[in-house]
Amino acid sequence: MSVSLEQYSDNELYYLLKSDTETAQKAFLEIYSRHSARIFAYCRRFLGNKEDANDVFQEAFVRFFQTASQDRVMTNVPAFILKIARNLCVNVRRRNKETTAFEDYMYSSHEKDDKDELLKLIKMAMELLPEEFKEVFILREYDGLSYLEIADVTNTSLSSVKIRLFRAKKRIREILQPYLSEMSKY
Amino acid sequence: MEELTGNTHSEMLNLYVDGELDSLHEPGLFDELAVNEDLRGEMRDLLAIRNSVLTDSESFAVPVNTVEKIFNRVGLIPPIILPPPAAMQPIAASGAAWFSMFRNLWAPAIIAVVSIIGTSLILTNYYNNKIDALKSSVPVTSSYETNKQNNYASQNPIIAGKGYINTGIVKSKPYHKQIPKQQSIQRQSNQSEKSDLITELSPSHNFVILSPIEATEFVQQHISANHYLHNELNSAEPIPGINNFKELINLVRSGNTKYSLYLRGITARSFPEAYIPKTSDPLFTNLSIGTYISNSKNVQFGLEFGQESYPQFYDYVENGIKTQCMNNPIIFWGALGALIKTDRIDFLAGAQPFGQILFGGSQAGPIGKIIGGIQLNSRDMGIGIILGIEGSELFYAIDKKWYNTRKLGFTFGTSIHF
Repeated sequence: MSVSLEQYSDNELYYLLKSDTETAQKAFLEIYSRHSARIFAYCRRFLGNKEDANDVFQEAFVRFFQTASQDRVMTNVPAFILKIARNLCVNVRRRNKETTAFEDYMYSSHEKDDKDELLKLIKMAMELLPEEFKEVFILREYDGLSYLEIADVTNTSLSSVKIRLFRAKKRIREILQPYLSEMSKY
Repeated sequence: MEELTGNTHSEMLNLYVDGELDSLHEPGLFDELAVNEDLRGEMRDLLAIRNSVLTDSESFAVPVNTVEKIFNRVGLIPPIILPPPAAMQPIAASGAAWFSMFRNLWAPAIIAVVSIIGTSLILTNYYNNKIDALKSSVPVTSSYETNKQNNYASQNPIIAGKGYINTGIVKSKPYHKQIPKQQSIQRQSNQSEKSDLITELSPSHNFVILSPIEATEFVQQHISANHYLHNELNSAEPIPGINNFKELINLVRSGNTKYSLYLRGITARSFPEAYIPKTSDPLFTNLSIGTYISNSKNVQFGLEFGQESYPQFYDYVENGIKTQCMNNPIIFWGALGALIKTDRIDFLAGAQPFGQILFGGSQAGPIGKIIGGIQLNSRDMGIGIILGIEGSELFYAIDKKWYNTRKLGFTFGTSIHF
């Protein structure tokens, strides 16, 4: 009999990953449906490169599924997947540090889908941010994480998250100021 | 890293926008916002950035085949990935809707008009004109009437003129005397073509007296030579065209079994309605053809096949976002059908109300149809037209989930009954 898993919480679904194959498949698909977009957005914006982002995104979900076989106490599934993705992103970033910055900028400035000029400018401004500022900004604005969750994912203190986020927004506003001032006239 | 005091209004504003500001600090922030234009400008900027980020659909769009790769890597069966919802089209395309409706209408409309005109021509122009012409040019006296007119027969022996046009036969008195009245009536129905040609001739014609057998032979020759139409079309006399068709019908028919062929056009609106073009445009669409068999007068059973556009509506989940999609494929269906019709209704020009039910399958899934309407068939040739209202329902499974679409509309076409 077909069972809908839409009513299950993330944590319940996580424990169902240890069940029989059919149930695990449904539970994994439900988790994927709920969180894949946000995880991918994090990878996409953090790495700036779509191919790398896709590779990291896949690896993150694969590793997440593999952790289900361990006896782990799960409290926050999306934050947990984001942690995995973040570690992978940091590794990729470290490996490609010499080349990605310029490519990111070029790619971002030529994205066909960006019809919104402000959005395009925000993405460019994000690329100019220090990595730790950019990361908290993505986690806050793209993934909607609370300050505590961001602190958990980035393994930093709450005050650090506050500072980084405040400065990230301030820097972006400064970069966008000419455009925002012009926009406010209308 | 230096600590934030959290006491500046800008810091409080950032915390407030992120939902992290302590409620104790909110009144102070609101008071400042009421008088500080720069702070309000900063709030506008923060909200503009947030709203803009939310429109970044490109960043949230996971490549479609990624889920399949992930599932394969972890050893699970990947879910069925539907193609991107290309069929999702702006509903506001009203012009396209009218165009689509016209495309659906024209083919069955033409078929219906042609069938109506064709049937009318056959019925009125051919039969009625011939019959009327025959009746007006050749005064008809039945053998029964002749039999009643004893004096008439006695005064006019069997005679035949030399000319065909003004030639007729009057049966002799002895002939009628040998036939009892009851037999004479039967003879009238069986061989009425002979009596149709019985006429009274003027004395000025040249006459040849014929015996009864000779009279019969003469009548047959007369009919064959002049291709006259009999007023009884069930006659077995060889009338070119008409009788060839009837002979064909008799060949097909065995006993009381009758066969019918239906060709119908279908024009219907789906519920919900889809304003998107069909996925393909085959030559024959929104048409059905059916063959039915019956042993009784009013009930038929048979098979029907058709091809029509049938919109489908389903949910498409990608990246956790559920979207309703629509598609408008052409489906080919086949169904078993049962048809019940009433006797002819004279005040409706002999039309026969009918009801029909069909149930079968298509490449999309099971399909059912209910049709009600009228049939108008010629009494003799078996050619007719049908006009009715059709309701149908298609069930289809997409991504292991069942959906259904209903259609309601008109159906019209032609029928041939053997």
